Amino acid sequence: MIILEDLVKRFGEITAVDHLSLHLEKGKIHGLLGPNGAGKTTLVRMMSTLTRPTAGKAFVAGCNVERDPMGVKRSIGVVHQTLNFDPELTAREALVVHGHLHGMPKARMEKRVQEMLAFAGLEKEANRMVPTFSGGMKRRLSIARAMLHDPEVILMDEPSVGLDAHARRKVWDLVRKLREAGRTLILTTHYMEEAQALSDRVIIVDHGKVIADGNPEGLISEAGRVAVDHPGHAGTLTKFFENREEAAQFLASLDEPATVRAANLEDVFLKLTGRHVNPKEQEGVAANASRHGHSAARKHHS
Amino acid sequence: MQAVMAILLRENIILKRKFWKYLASWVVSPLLYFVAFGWAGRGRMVGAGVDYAAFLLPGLVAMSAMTHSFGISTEINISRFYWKTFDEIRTAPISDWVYVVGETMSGAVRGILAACVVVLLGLIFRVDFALNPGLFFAVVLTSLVFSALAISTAMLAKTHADQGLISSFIITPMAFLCGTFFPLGAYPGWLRSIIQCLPLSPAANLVRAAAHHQSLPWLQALYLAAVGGVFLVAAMVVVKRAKD
Ligand SMILES: Nc1ncnc2c1ncn2[C@@H]1O[C@H](COP(=O)(O)OP(=O)(O)OP(=O)(O)O)[C@@H](O)[C@H]1O
Ligand SMILES: [Mg+2]
Repeated sequence: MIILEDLVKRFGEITAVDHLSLHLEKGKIHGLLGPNGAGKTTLVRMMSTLTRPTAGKAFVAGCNVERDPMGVKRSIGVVHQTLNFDPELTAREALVVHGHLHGMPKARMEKRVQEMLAFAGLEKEANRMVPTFSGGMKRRLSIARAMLHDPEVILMDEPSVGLDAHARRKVWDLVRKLREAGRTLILTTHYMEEAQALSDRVIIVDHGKVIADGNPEGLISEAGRVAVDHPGHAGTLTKFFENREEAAQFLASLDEPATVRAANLEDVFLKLTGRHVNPKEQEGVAANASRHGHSAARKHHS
Repeated sequence: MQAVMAILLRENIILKRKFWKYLASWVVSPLLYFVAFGWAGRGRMVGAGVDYAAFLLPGLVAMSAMTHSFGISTEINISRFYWKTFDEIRTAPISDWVYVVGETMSGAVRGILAACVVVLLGLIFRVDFALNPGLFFAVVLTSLVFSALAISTAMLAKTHADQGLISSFIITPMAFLCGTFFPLGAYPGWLRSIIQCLPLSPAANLVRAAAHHQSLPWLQALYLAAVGGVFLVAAMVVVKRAKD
């Protein structure tokens, strides 16, 4: 459904996307996971024809993003990272304008607008001005808008950023409904639980490169299913084990108290890069855990 | 065609929602000029027995059409840099010319309405001028030309502050120089030649000819239309390049 071949995007000195190749399949949710500045948005913007690749090729629904941008635009729906609504429009008007822009016949559009308002749970608010909406309502409206013309491919750039747990679940429900409807989704996020809960396939990006690619379960078991956090000389250290028995053995050898938990995608990233995806939330921990993460990785391969 | 209407629909909803603010801005400056210059110069004759107020009014009509159709550039800029809605339009399957034509028409609507307000002021102040299709034609053409220019400058501006700078370099000089407030007779020949090439000059001449029951200077209309064509092409080019 989407083919990226050796894709590169440079902004002056910065290489945002660095010789990246991917094949994304129809009818799946692809989670694009990576820290700030990994190149997720740049990737999505290239797929949605908003940014020109510096080198390489990208095909979306069979159309080359550079040669046939119109073909690409006809088959995609985009939820942009920044909420972008005209402040003078009501929710309904925002959808109607979108419908016209996508050349929808009037009768079908009116039906779809109603359906999408219901889909996003915004029927009662349809005639309210968008600026009076909460962040969560705007996100849901943004998804409804991207869906209005019923595109084959949906590109969502951080659809749940800044939402509380409840609103985030609502967005997840919407995303799952889209997969049930057979749509192909690409969803960028730096929330581990989100990638883990939603994605059929997780693609971890760092410095514009794919560093891991697979289903969430597989990636986690490769890293070691069980994680043990224990205090080290300069902060918390994390060690990974294939199973509880191995972890228990390690625990027995420790003098300090430690936590045993199931490993997650954050750990996968930590092991691969020595850094956390969301460094702010984990301040201080990253640098120490990193060294250990690498040694743990080596251990597993031996 | 539907897509052009979509762009227009969006701009017109915005226009409707902010109508009173717009109306105020359309009224204020012409009213000010009218009182400051028109009243002070009342009864004074300009050229061949034309009352100064009658000379000024068409100038103000052309100037308002220019200023307020060019105002679409500010709208585009705010949408682009502040509300980020340009991305929403860029991911829709519409061609660049659809966007350019849609925005040009939206800008022109504002220019035409602003010019109508000045005409209304003229009627209220009992200025002697003619209302005819020629006047309407001149206003529509002027509005389209400057609205097309607005799109190019909106795309070239990298920030909202740039936009203000562009306005004060392009629009303000024209507003004051192009025979809007005074006849060009007092200027030296070389300066007059330059001024006559600026697009507001033929626009003001067209409006004035129509308002004063004279036959339209078709050559100037043609020149203005050609300049508008150039602006349209320029707008297409810069819109195409407005990707990162
Ligand atoms: N228009 C631009 N001009 C210059 N540099 C840019 C531009 N857009 C992105 N970059 C740079 O490209 C890199 C990747 O940015 P991008 O926005 O794609 O990251 P991201 O993964 O989406 O990050 P985030 O999680 O913060 O949204 C960053 O280093 C950024 O500074
Ligand atoms: Mg991003």
